[in-house]
Amino acid sequence: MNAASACPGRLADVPIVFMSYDEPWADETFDDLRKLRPDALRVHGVKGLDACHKAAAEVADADWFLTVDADTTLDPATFDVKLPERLMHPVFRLDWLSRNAVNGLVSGNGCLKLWPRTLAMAMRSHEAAPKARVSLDADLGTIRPGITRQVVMPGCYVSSDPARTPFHAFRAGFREAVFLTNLKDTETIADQIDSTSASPLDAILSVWCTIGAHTPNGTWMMYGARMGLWSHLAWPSWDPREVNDYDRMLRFWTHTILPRIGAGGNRCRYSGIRWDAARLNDEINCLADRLEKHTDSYLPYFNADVSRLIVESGLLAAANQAPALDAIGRVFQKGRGVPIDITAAQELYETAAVIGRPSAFANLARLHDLGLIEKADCATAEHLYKVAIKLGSPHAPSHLAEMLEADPDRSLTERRKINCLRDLAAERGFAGPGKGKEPRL
Amino acid sequence: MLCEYPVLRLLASGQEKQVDAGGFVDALPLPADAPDVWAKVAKESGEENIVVIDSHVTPSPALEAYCPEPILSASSLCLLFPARSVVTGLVVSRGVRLVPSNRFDGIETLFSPSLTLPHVAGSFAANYTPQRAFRTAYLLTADRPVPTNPLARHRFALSASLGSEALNGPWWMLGALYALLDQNPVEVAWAKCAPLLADPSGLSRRSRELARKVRLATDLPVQAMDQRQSRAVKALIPNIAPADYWQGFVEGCADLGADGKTLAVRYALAGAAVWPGEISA
Repeated sequence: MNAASACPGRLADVPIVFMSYDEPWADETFDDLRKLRPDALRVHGVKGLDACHKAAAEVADADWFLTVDADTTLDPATFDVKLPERLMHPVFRLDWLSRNAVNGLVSGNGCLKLWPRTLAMAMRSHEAAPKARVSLDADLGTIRPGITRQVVMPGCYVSSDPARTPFHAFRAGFREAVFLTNLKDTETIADQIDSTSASPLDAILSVWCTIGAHTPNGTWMMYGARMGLWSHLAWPSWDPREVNDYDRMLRFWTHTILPRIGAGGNRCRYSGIRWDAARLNDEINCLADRLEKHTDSYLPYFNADVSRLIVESGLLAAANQAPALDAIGRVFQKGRGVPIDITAAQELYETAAVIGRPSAFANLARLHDLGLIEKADCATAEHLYKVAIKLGSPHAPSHLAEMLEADPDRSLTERRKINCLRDLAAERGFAGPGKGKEPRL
Repeated sequence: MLCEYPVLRLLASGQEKQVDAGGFVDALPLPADAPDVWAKVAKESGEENIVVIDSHVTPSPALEAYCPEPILSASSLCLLFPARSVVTGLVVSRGVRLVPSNRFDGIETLFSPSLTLPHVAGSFAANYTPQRAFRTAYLLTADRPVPTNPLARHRFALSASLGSEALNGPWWMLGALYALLDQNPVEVAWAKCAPLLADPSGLSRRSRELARKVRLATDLPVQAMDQRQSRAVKALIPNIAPADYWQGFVEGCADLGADGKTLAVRYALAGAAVWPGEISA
């Protein structure tokens, strides 16, 4: 084990492992990485994403290591990023989001990941997941439920281009659509109600399905995404875990997809395959018609100029991080898997509150209410609870009632206020700790 | 909270019938063209700050819960919470304002200098007639300098490309496109378009033609999106202020002393969580 990497200072101090499998451009990208990090390591051709990450952990031979995918390029400024000591716990994987070079989305797809070795080795995901679990991602939350998780870091230093060949573009779109659809199926009602837009996952799916005509293989990526959606719809018994099997994906491409499109005037500089662009456009339009007929999908055609305008407007924000920030704040407040750090919790709640998360206001109020922070005071707690109540927090009414009840000299007016708060709490489904069913967050 | 301040709702002529519920239901409606009335009400309130809802803005109920930081309330700045256009889906420079009472003495400087907060106030809908839609889009576009930054230029182009599926949206697009092409007063531009009232099928043709002219004359990549395209793009736009609003606010706060710098850091962190890589403290 490399003792020097126990708690490094910057990303430049952390071993970095480049992971490639079958990408014909991988050598080029690896060479680019080595210009920034001559010490970069590589794992190539390891079958299975779980196995690949464990191989990376072994090659890095350190308490912490970075992984980067073969379709990802890094800004030189990446390695000057200081590591947040407060978050360097073996229960967190730290992610720096990536901007998709085709559709402009900023997301975890292709992101730069900082792994604690113990977490990577404890992971059982993708091909290594228990048979009963559909695993299309690292599933960090299943290692120690409520404790292990990914933490999104500020800044975007990473660009990911999964569309350098038609096959890889198709595969990327297909896999992502299947992953997002599976995620949608597991979204809780509370997640949907609390989201700031009608459906963030629907918006992301829409981007994968409609944006990209301005890039050489963007149309293939859109086709893959639409096919992924269609597969879910047309074959409900189809096992989405098949996307983890790259051999199967290649057979699907070679024997089903490519023959449907046929050869034509367009040619891939890496693989040499030729395809009929007009036929490809017909296919994606046909899929759009079918999807629109059978689902709520809305998939208009964006030509290259419109597609480019949308991407270069930069209006596709990252997913709302407020729920995650609030949840990590709770982890630090309660000391779940990490030492209790009220200052960290307060900072995270304040950030989530700025973005408009109701429970963040309630959590900040609780810090004052319970006297957990310096200069805690009841007036501030009451004010914050009131804001949380106004924004619809289900927990704030009962917490405020409890706080007011603790005052033995309360007046008749205040007793009435407490009763109203208790009624509101019951209406919102949370009567207080031990007093009723707690709604899911 | 903002709902605890006196609230004035400005109504443009013809707007009376359009008032929607939204937030601040107890706001006092006042004519938008009577600043002396606003000043009288502000003075009589005895409060240090007044909330003013711009014409055609429907505030979201959540905005009522916003609590201005003491450093902002004490700054003597007019604080603007921008609204989102129902036509384009983009944030505009109209919305809800928190105005220091002493500003009502001089109408010329009532809303300036100001600081725009990166919190979307609600919706802005000045499209209830073709002429209103045209005029509003024209004036909003003409008011803004054409950006030089590539990202901002593309967003600017988008603001003249969206809206064909909205009520009087094609008229809105025409207004924005004309503002990009000529320097004439809005009445002159409207006179050129008004004959299309009798020829609705000519609207989309004119938009496409103007968009092409704008691209040639200004190099702005405007596209006259059709209804399906416009509707789909608007569904992708998050209900969050764009990155430049967050960055502008962070920079504005940093000028307000030590407490302002603390607030700037908090907003920079929050902005970075929504717009990674685009916000710096």
